[in-house]
Amino acid sequence: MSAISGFFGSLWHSGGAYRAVLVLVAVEGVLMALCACWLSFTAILMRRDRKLDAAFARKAAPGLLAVLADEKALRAWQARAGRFPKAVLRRYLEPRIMATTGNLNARIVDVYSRLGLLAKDMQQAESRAWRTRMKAMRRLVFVAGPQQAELLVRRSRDLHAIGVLAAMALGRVGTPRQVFEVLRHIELPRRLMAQPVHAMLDAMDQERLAKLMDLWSETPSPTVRRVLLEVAARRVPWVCERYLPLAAGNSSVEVRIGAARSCGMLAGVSSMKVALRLAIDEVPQVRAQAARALGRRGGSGSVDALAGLAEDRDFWVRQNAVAALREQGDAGRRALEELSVSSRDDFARDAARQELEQLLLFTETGEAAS
Amino acid sequence: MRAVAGAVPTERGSGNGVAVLVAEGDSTSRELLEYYLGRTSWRTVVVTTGEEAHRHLRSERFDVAVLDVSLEHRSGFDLLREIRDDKQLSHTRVMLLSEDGRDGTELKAFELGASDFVRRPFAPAVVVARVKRLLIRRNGAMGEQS
Repeated sequence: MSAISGFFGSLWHSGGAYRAVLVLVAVEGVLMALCACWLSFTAILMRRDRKLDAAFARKAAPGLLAVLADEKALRAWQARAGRFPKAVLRRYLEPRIMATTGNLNARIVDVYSRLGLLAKDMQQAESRAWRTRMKAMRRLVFVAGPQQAELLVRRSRDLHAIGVLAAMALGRVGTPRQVFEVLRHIELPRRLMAQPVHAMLDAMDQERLAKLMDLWSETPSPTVRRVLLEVAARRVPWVCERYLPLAAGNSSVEVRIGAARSCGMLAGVSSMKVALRLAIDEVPQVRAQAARALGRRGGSGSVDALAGLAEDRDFWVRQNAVAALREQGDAGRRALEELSVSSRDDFARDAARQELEQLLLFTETGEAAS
Repeated sequence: MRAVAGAVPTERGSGNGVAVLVAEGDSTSRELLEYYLGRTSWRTVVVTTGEEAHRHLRSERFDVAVLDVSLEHRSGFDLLREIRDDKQLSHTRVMLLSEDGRDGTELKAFELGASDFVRRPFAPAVVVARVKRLLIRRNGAMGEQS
């Protein structure tokens, strides 16, 4: 021992560099000791959790699902389960809630609530610590009911990640007016940020989504109005058709782009008229989306309009139009051939030729393969 | 027989001629599968280890075997091989449940003769629906043979 201390002592007195190295080694030693302590502590906690889970499995046998149908047995099960810490109950109930749907899911959520876990989640969702609020909100996404909707509306204005979780839960349980309250405060400066709004609207059933569309024109953000239109076109197309003429005449480019994209998902006559109207919009991005929509819809009316758009002054409109023509079968091919020969526009001729070459290559490859 | 959760093999359903074996190591999935299968009229046997599954397969006739790939003692793949190597068990359709979502695992399952493959996490109601589809396909194939 004295030899070791003598060795370190002589190093300490050998100069500044040695002293610095010794300090670094000491700091590293302390850090490693702290890490070891932390690992041991978490290992002890994990072992305790495993033991508690095993004890719970023994005491709560038969499982919850086996007693759900019998109210008396369920009460006895709850009494046994209630003696365990809430964390153990959550670990048991959460996977069962996530793996079930419909009536069974509602019954397990009811047990979750009866055991006091939902009340605890609501309390934690208002915590001052953001991590606690986040954890609570992750659970509320699955277990919140209409009674928690007001809390979710409040939390939707929290930090972005918490707000997204609240919005997703609200999509499932909120009234159209409550969902609108969230949408009213959302700004979407980037396209990627629209994903949570899509998730929230997709969680709504058709009836509530249709009612939400009644508030469409009151939504302040044009980007949110665009997303609403697109989701409605997919989920409640008959409602979307009603709002398209209004959207096509809107002063916001975002809304008109949404209208153009929605036209591609619809099949009605009125939406076709809107698509043709948007194909002559003054903004190139709108015309480009209208070209795509016309391509998706197909039909002779679309082919004529696309042939016109193929001679547009904007590159992306031409590109979308000729790409859409390629998908229109013989009629589209004929239109491309005509454009490639007789168009007065050099760019349109080139674009049509390129598409025809690709079409030819595709046909030859297809024939060779078959 | 009344279902009892835990390590004890459980059996339920009076059966309408259809028998399903479930060998599942994870207690949550086992409980959920047992619940959903219990709502059908099939005779269902639920076990927790590969050894138990092997014993049941030798002694009883099952139309469908739902096997966890990572079972204790004998893996789902081992059981699948045994089922396919044994002519007496050739009528049993096998569905494998796996944590491993890689395409290679799924490919291996189908190469060994699995009829279906389900990746975790799965919705138990969907697994039961797929078992039903396997039974319909099996009945259709048997009808064609006769």
